Amino acid sequence: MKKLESTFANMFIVLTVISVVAGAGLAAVFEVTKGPIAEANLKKQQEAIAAVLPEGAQVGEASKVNGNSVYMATDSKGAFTGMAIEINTNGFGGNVKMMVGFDAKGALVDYSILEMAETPGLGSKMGEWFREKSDIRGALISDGEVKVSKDGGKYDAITAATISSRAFMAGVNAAMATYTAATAGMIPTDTTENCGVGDTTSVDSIKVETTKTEEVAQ
Amino acid sequence: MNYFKPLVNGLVKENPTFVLILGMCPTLGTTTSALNGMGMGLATMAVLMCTNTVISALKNLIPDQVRIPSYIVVIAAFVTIVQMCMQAYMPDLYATLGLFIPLIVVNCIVLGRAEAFAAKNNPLMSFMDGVGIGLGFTGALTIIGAIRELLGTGCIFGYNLYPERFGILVFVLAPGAFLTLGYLIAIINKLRAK
Repeated sequence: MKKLESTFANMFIVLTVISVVAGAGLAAVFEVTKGPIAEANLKKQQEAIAAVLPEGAQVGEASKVNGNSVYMATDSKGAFTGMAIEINTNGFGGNVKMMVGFDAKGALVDYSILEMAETPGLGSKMGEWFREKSDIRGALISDGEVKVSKDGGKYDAITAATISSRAFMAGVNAAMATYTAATAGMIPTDTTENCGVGDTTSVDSIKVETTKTEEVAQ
Repeated sequence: MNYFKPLVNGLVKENPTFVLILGMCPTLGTTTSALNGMGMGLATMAVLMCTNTVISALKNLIPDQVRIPSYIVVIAAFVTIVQMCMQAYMPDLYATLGLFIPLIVVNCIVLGRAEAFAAKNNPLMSFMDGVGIGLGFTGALTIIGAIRELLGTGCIFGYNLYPERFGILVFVLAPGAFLTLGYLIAIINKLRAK
């Protein structure tokens, strides 16, 4: 077959047809892969929730606190054992989506990075770094905000990725703030067992109650 | 016709990285570890095999003056398809490589081979060229990645060979990519000159 001449009509038709075919192909593949992609993301999210909460916790439905998705965990009796919070923070390469889990005492159980676009080999290490190199697990909300050592905190930043590390800390701090906000509203129902009847209706007495439990834990 | 010629050609004689010096952006950017380099190479190879075959089959239907936009539409479509399939059926691999996949569209090896080879040869030869160039690219990226990973962190493919604190951090950073690539090209030119 002879090669088509570069006339206006030929160029117009060929380019249009190629674009339409490519567009249709993409649409078809998008439709086919939409389900599996959503499934994979959901599975990843559920695994992340399970990984960051105390073992054996039963995870409840998602609710929104401060604009972040929050997953409450309860034990078999229905008592509050922890909370997983999905947080978005602004990293070096764009948005970082992470799951941070706390137990009932407000100690950080674990974290998991769901999505990120940090520099490969540097900032992208944040998934392991704050577990293996500079362990953030066990950080207590009552101890205040977490910081990297350059900013006067106690956690070493990822080598050559200070911005990513600061973004990670900002994410954890946002999760801590969300935890505080979420527990302020829900603790009355959960602490009725621990303290006297009717004592927990006001917010002030709740705060006292949580502080006490933390002291006991330490 | 000898279908193995383009295979060897892509691996050695016209190695895209060390001889043609094409596709330097992903080469420098993604070779922070041997595994990253290899993943990027294999993803590029998958795209290259598809685009070379399709463009070669369409070569007589595409008028000369609109060939570049036509090729780019075909390439971008295949890259996006690879990305979506990987995300759906290989989420673990996507987690590691997802960042790099869109970069393949702007990789000049893919467009370069469409222009220099697929537009002049039959689909089967073009497919073999895609395999050969793809393997050459994968090999080169794996070597660069392995050297940078070894010197920078003391590991190869994640296996620790010596304590990380003796690693030379600059090799994981951008300057290390230029140093490694420069020395490798120099060595290969020396060998080729003989």
